[in-house]
Amino acid sequence: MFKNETPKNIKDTETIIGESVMVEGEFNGHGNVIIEGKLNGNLNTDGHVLVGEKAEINANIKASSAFISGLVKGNININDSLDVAKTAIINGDIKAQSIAVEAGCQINGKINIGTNPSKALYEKGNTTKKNKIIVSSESEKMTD
Amino acid sequence: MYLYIYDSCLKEKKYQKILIKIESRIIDLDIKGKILRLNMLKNINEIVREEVEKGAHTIVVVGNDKTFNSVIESAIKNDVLIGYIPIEKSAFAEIFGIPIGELSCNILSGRIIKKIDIGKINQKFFINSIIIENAQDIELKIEDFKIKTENHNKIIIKNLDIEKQETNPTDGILELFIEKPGNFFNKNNTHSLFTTKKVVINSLSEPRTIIFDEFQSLNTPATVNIATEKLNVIVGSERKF
Repeated sequence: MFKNETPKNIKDTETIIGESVMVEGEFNGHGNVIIEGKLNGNLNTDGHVLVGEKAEINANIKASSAFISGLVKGNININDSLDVAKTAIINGDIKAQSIAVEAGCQINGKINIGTNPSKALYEKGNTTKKNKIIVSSESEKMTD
Repeated sequence: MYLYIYDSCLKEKKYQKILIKIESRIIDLDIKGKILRLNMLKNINEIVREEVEKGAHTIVVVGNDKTFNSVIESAIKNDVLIGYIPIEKSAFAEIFGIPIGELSCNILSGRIIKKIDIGKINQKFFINSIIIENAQDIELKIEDFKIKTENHNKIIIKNLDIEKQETNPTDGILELFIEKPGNFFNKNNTHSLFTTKKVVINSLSEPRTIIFDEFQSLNTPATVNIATEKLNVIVGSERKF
């Protein structure tokens, strides 16, 4: 799941924000979006979002599904599934139908899984000293 | 009535043989018309307008992709059908499914007509792409967001993709590529891709040159958009779209 997700197939991708590019503003896409560069503002799409390891995002993200392996400062709202890789740093709240988290990533914020808010898995600052949540792959079982 | 526009290069001896075959095939198929030979002194727009007023309904470009490009604006402004007889290997002809030389006359005679999109930069038209080399201090605005790039990047906005020939000139979309050239250690270019209908190009410092359809140019600022189903072209059944 985590190792094979690379932005090689651009045929199905509407937008690629490459390493040497910075986007500022309201980005409303209609399809899959790959981000390897910088984005400031907001990102909305009805497709999949892939945030690469070198990406720096200062934005709220709304998408159907997402794979995060870079830096995101902002809230993430995903209709379906969210995958967080070990290189990801997320400073913001997460809402998703389901989430898969690789050991080593950093998430600073609330995580809401499923549509029912009472299923909130983690609250900000309740696991580590510096408000940093380090979630191992075993933690996925806690959502059941 | 057909109006045949001959490129000035057809005067060269090497094209005489192919031209005789083309003209012979035109007579066989009974699609004769007036012949106009391009030269530096003639204003294509003016001549096409006059011929359309006299009853020309189809302009046929006999030449290469550069010749075809030079006639597009006249065809659009006069709302007239355009056909193409390529005399050498041609990217446009491959996309339109038109063979080289006298065989293309059969396509003309078949008259399969498609309306294709045309790119527009300020008040000029382009069929293929626009390019900004070394995009220093260039800012691109699409809808509600802005794109800034590194200095040595190359910006390409495509209507047709004549290199890949995986293109659809009827989708109403422009593809914007930003390429970062590779270096000594990494030869591969990295690129960004955006799909859009309108892009505003500004330079944050001095005006930058924008090349469109390889041989025309203008300076920033510029607004690029797409005119959907703007050009009526005679195409073959082997077309790529």
